Amino acid sequence: MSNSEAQTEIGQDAAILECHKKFLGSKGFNPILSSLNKQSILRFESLGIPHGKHEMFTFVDTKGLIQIVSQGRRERIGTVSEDIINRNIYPGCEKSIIVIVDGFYVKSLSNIRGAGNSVHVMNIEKAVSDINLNRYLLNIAERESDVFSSINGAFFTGGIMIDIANDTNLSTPLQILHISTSPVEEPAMITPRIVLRAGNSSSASVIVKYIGTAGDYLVNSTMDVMLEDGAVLKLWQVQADSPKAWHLSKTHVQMSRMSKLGTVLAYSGCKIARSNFEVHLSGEGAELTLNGISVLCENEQAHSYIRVYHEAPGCISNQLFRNIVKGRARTSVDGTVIVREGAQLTCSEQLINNLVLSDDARADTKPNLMIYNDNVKCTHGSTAGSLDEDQIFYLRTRNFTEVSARALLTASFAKKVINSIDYPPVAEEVRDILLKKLET
Amino acid sequence: MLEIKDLSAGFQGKEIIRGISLTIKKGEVHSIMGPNGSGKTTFTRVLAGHPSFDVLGGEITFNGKNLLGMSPEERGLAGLFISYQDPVEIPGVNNAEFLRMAYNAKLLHHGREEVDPLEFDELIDSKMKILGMDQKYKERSVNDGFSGGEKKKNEVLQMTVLEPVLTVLDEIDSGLDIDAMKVVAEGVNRLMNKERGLIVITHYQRLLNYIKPDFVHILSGGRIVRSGGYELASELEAVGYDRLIINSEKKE
Repeated sequence: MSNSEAQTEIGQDAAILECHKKFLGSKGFNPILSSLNKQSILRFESLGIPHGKHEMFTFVDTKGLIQIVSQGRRERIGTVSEDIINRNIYPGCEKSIIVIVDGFYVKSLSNIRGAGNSVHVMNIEKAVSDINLNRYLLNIAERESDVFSSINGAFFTGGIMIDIANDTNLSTPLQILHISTSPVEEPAMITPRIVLRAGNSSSASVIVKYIGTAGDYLVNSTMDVMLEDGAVLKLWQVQADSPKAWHLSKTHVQMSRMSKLGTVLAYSGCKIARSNFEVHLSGEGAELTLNGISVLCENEQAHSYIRVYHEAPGCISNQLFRNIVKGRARTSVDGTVIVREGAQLTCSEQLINNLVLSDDARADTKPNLMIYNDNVKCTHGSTAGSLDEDQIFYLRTRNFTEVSARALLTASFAKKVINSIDYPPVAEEVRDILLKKLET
Repeated sequence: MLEIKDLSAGFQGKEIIRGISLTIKKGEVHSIMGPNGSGKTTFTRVLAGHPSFDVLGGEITFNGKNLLGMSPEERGLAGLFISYQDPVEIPGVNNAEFLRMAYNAKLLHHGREEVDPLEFDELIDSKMKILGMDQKYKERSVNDGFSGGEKKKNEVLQMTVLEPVLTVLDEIDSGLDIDAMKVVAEGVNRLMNKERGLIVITHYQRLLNYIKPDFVHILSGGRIVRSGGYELASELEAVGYDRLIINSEKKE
C-alpha cells in the first residue's frame, strides 16, 4: 500500500468516525441502541477501512463504496408509492408483509395479520430490552470481521426483530420487502438491520427482497438469524436493486441442535453487490443448504463471501453456487468451510459453477476447506466455462435455432438453484428477473 | 429424396470423405457399412451440418434443395434426422420438455399450432410404450446418466416423435443387447413407409437382420468401394471387411 493510499484510508476512517459523532448527537440516534452502536464503531476502528489487497475483498473494488460510506447514514425516509409495494408483494404474502423503507421499518405499510399470534414483529429498540438478545448482539458486534457490517452496527436504528414462537408452523411465507429510495442531497448509505429468531421446533419460510427506485444508493444491510433447537427455516434472498445501486449484506446465522436452514441467494447484480454469509452450525445435527445464483450483464458485479463453521458433531452443509456472466460483468465466490475440532462426522459439500458467456466477463472462485479433525467427509470444487458447443449442435439438429439452443442451455444451468426455491411465486420471479436479462 | 454427388469432406484440414455419390429414393432403406476409420461418422456429421467438418467438394440435394446451404436446424425442419452414435448428455434439460420444444418447432415450421404439455404427454407416452421405455425417462435430463442402450432408445424415441422424412441411424446397434436391438428395430420399421427414407450406418450385419436394407454400400478410405443388395451384407459377414475390400479394389 502506498503512503498516499494509506493517508486516504486514514482520512476516510476519520470521516466515518466524525459522521458517527454527529450521528450520536442527532435526532436519529436512539440511546437504547447506544451500547450496540458504540461497540460497533469500536470494532470499526479496530478493523479499519480495508486496503486494496484485503483478504476479505480480494475480488471487490471497495474504493467507490468507501467514499459513499464515509458520508454517513441517511436519516430520512423517502417516499414510496403503494403501487411499488403492491407490485413487489408475492402472491400469498399479502397478509404477511414487512416493509422496510430506507432501512426503517414502516408499520403503516406492513401487514402481518396473516402470520397470527405466533409471529411477533417489534422494533429492535424494544427487542434489545431483552438482556440476552442485547448480549448476543453485542457479542456479534465485538467479533464482527466485516467492516461494512460494523458500520451498519454503528449507525443502525429503526430495525426490527421478528420472533417466531416455539412450535409455530407458518403455512405461508413471511416477506420482508426492502425498498431503497434515492433522495437528492441525502447520504446514499442506508443501514437496515433485522434480527430473526426461529423458536424451538418452529417451521417457517422467509423471503427477503431488495428493490430500489432508480438512482444511486447503498444498501448496507445486516441480518442476524437464530435457529433454535429443531427449527426449520427457509430463507430466500432476492436482490433486485437498481442497476446503479451498491448492495452489501451480511447475514449472520447461528444454528442450534437439529435445526435446518435452506437458503438461496438470488442476485441480479448492480454496481457492486456483495453478500457475506456467516453460518455457525453450533448444535449437534444441524443442517445447512446454501445455494446461490446470479445473472450479471454489462458492468454488473455480484460477489459472495461465505464462511461456514462446523462447530458441533454430525452437522451437514451443502453449498451450490451457479453464476452466469456476460458483457464485462464480474462475479466471485470466496467460500471457506471451517470444521472445528470436535465437529466429528461432519459432511460438507461445496460446488461453484460459473458460466462465462463473453470474453470480457470474469468469474473468480476461491473454495477453501479448513479441517481440524479426522472424522469428516468434505468435498469442494469449482468450474468455469462457456456453453458446450456439442450440446448446441445437438439441439440445433433437433430443430432449435442457435439462439434458442443457447437460451435453453443457459436456463438449464440456472435451473437447479432456482428450483431449490420451493415457493413457486418466488422461483418464477427469480427465473423471470434473471433469465430475461440474458435476452438483451 | 437425397442426392449426393461426388462429396468430399474433411476435418481439421484432413480429407476423410473422398468422392461419395449416392442416391436415396422415397421408401428405400440403404445401409452403409465400413470398418473403423472408413469415414462413416464424418459422413453423418457432414449430413447434419456440423460446423467443425469442412465440405471440400461435391453437392447434396435434399428434396430438391441444396442441403449444404442449410443450417443444422433448417435440415432438421426439412425432415432430416440423424441419430448419433454417441448422443451428448445435456444435464438440466428435461427430456420430455426438450422433445416437446423440438416437436413444436416442427409444427410451427409447418404452420400448425403448438401442442401443450398435456397433449404432448399423450403422444410421447404412446411412443415410449412401443420402445418399452420407462416413464422416468421423461423426467430425466436429456441422455444424462443414460446407459449406452438407453441413449440409443432415446434417439429412436425422438425419431418416432419427430417423424422425419429421412433418417440416418449412425451405429444405432452399438451398446444395444439383442433384445433392445429388436425393440429399436421395431420402432424404426414402424416409422418407415413409402414416403420415407432410411440410411443405416453400421459395422455389423446383425442389425440388418431386423432392419432389412434394399441397398448395401461398403465404405472404405472415404469412398464407396462396393454397392449391392442385402446379400452384400451377408457376404461381408462371411468374408470380413479386409477380403471384401481387397476383392472390390481388384475388380475396379
